[in-house]
Amino acid sequence: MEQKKSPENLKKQTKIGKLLSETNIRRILPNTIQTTILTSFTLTSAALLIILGVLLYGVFAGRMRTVAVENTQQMLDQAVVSLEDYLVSMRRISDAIYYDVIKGKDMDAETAESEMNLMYEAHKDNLISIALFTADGELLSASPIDSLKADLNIPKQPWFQKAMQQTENLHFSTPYVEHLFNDTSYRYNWVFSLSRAVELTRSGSPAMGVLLVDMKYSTIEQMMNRINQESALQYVYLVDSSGKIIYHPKQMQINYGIIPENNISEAHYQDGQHEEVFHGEKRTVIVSTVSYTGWKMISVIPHRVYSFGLGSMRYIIIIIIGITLLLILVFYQRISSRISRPLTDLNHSIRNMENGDLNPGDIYVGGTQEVRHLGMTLRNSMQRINQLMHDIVVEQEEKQKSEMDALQSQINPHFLYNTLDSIVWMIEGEHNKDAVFMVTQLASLFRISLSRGKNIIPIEQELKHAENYMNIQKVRYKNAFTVRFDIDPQIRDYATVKLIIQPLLENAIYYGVGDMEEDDGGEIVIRGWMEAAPGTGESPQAQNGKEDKNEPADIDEASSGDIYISVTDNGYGMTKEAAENLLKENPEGARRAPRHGSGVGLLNVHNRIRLRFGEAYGLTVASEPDEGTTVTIHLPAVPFTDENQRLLESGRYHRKGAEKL
Amino acid sequence: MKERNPFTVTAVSTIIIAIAIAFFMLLRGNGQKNYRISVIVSNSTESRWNTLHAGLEQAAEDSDIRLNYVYTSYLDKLEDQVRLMEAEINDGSDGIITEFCDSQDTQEIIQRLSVKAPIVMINTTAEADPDVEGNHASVTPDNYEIGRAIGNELIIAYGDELGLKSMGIISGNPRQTAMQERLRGFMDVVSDRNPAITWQIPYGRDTEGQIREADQEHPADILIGLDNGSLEAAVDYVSDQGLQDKTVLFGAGCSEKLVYYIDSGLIRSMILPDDFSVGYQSLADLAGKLDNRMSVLTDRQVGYNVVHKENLFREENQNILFPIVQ
Repeated sequence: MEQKKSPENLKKQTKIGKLLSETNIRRILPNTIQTTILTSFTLTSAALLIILGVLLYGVFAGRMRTVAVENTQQMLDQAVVSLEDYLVSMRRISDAIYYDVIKGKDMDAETAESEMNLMYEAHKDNLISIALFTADGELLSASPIDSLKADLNIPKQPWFQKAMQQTENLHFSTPYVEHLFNDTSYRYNWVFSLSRAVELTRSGSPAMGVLLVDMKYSTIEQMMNRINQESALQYVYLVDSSGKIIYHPKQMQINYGIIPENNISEAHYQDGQHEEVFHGEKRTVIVSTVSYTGWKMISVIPHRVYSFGLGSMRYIIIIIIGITLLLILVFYQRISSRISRPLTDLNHSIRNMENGDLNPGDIYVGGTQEVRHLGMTLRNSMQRINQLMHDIVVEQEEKQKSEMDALQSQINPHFLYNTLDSIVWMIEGEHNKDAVFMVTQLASLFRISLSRGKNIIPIEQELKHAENYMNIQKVRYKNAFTVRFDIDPQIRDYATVKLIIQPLLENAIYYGVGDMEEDDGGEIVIRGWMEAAPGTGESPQAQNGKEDKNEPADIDEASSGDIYISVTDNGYGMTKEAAENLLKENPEGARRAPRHGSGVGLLNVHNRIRLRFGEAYGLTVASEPDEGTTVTIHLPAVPFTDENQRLLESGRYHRKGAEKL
Repeated sequence: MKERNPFTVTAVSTIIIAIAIAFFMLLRGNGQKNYRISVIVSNSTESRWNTLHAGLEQAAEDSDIRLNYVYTSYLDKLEDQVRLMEAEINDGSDGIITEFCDSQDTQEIIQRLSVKAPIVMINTTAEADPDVEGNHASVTPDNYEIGRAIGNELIIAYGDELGLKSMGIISGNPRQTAMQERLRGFMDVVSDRNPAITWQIPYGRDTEGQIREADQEHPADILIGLDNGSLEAAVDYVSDQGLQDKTVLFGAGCSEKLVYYIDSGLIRSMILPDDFSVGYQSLADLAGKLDNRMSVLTDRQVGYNVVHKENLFREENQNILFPIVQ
């Protein structure tokens, strides 16, 4: 059943949740390689050590227990043997008095006191008294005391009754306070008695009697005390066959009911080892029977003895595990540091990179093979990035310079002077219409050249510019050659870099048809056409049409064709090598822009196209000596839109597969 | 400074703390402080204390306490007893077990000394202020009942003839509450029978002389000793004067000498206070108090037995009269 959560409980749980949140755990245990290695290694080692410690402790405790029980069994056996020896010695005293003294005497005629005294003197350390009674309880002889207390009913004494009931046996009593004889020193001794029925001779007639040997209880007491000195918790005690305690180290406490003892049950145990639970305490009980008496010596080992003895061992194991863990921790600290340091240093290098340090030499290279490889790769990448950045800067500078050159060429003073001179000449010759035409063409030429500062213009304007230029040149060259434009109308709306056709025309005039006579039939043909990109079924124009209707298309997708504009002259031409050298940087004998021309060479045009559109584009030159020269401009088909113009102006134009072409 | 990994710091601290605790426990071992308790009773070497000693020693062994029996002769002055108690406390005793020789005007003494070392009064109580902290208590038999039991024994022995008998009473130390109560209990029982109490003397340094003097002036058929000393003095007087056939003795006590005279028939009946329990209980309580200072000592009463010639060597009595001390 779901319990209702009180607001306090919820608050508490939220608090605990916050404390245990991932962030807090990460704060406590930072997610670093070193911490991960150190934590996992240490925790694994600690778990293993603890398991090992517990197992060892268990094995050790089990072994201790076995050893303790075995030792106790041995000790108990020895104690039983000692006690039996003592009891046998007492029995021998009784036998000696009976067979050597009493049997040979007529007790009415002689007394046995002197022999009893001798026997007593020889064994007085263990004996209290020796006494011989008749079957009626009359004292015949005694040593060392000879006066019985008055009013004693000897035949009622337990030891007397037992002896008379079973005349063939010797009887050992349980301890009691001896009170048969007068003792003016007010002393009372604890004794246990060995009594037996004896056959007496009285006045020549056989009679029955009882021989009593009272032994000091203290002898057994001392014997048992010595055994019990060794352990505080485990102990040995002695009971008779009925379970009555003869000796117990805590006898008084048991008599007073302060401490309980399982003596009655244990007296009936078989000899050997037993497990029992007494008053909630588990204990091992070892029982051994004492011969002649039916007494049982019982050793009690409470199970807490084992843990009591192992208390120190437990602490020693904890200390050993603790010290081992400390050493392991130091070792793992070093190992993890060694593993993680190169990575940390590398990470530090990357952080420096992020902060602006782009020196590849500052990138850490070291540590293990893998980390070293990472460092090397990073360093190489850094070098390449630096190189590329440098290239970009150079390219941008070059682009700006090229475009500046192209612009400057449009205001070439020589060209302007010649053109203006032609106009002056026309005005003076009153060819006003021609003059107006020239001025109009010149104005158009400059307007397109400037193009409000833009470098990207529609092809249509570029062609218009070329047309203006040729119209001016044709006047200057007095129509020494003809000009023909053969332009595919669909290319007119595509974008181009400005001022790329005019330098080709200039070259065609100066190196081709400029010096030819009118009758030589000099001709410059400007062609413009479009080729679809491989795999493109649709023409770029068609695509452009679609884009106009829809969303502005991506420049890459729209420009999927190529545009070619060629300028062909039928002038002197040149060798193949010379043609190839035209587009090389500073080659020997390169065909440079003439000083009297616009000042812009083919190489400038070639470079400007490539800088804008990529390496795949630019110029190609085909020439045959005495046949003429064809210079072809290759451009990507990029529809002229504001967006494309902006992209191309910013230099961010990139066409898929341009590099491959 | 190099930044420390929190895991390392936590782990190292935990391990060091665990090692330190284990080391401390190892050094400390299983032995607690071995407290010393001093026992101060009058005539400390007399055999009448055997049973008490047996109880004390068994409890001392069970509680791992060192016992110190202070040697004394006859103590009848409170100042002497207090001086001994102070000396024991100054000498490092952690607790005192004592029989006050004077139950009066002991409030200040008990209050002052029990703060330094807890005190258990045995056999007799003494005047003391209420003790909230439980620093002192008493372990005694029910002395009024003992007095009554002595009286009852007389009635059992003589019945209505008691009124025809003359009695001499040795009433123990009259400054002890215990003796006052025993006398009161005794008188409460026997006064109905109108016995002739010919003399009554306290127990003192020359009790036997006083008995002789009083008894010669007013001979008594029955001598009553309310405590062990009084009864022993009566026994001595009767034995010395050869009055065994004339005089019958009753009383309370526990010494082997008195047992002997019960055995011989001189003492008709004797009340046997449970001195073993007095000794065992007083020391066990004190050990408990020393182990836990917040615990409170409380007054306890122990029982008594009636012994006479017929039951003297019965098992239950011989265990009390002749304690087996291992």
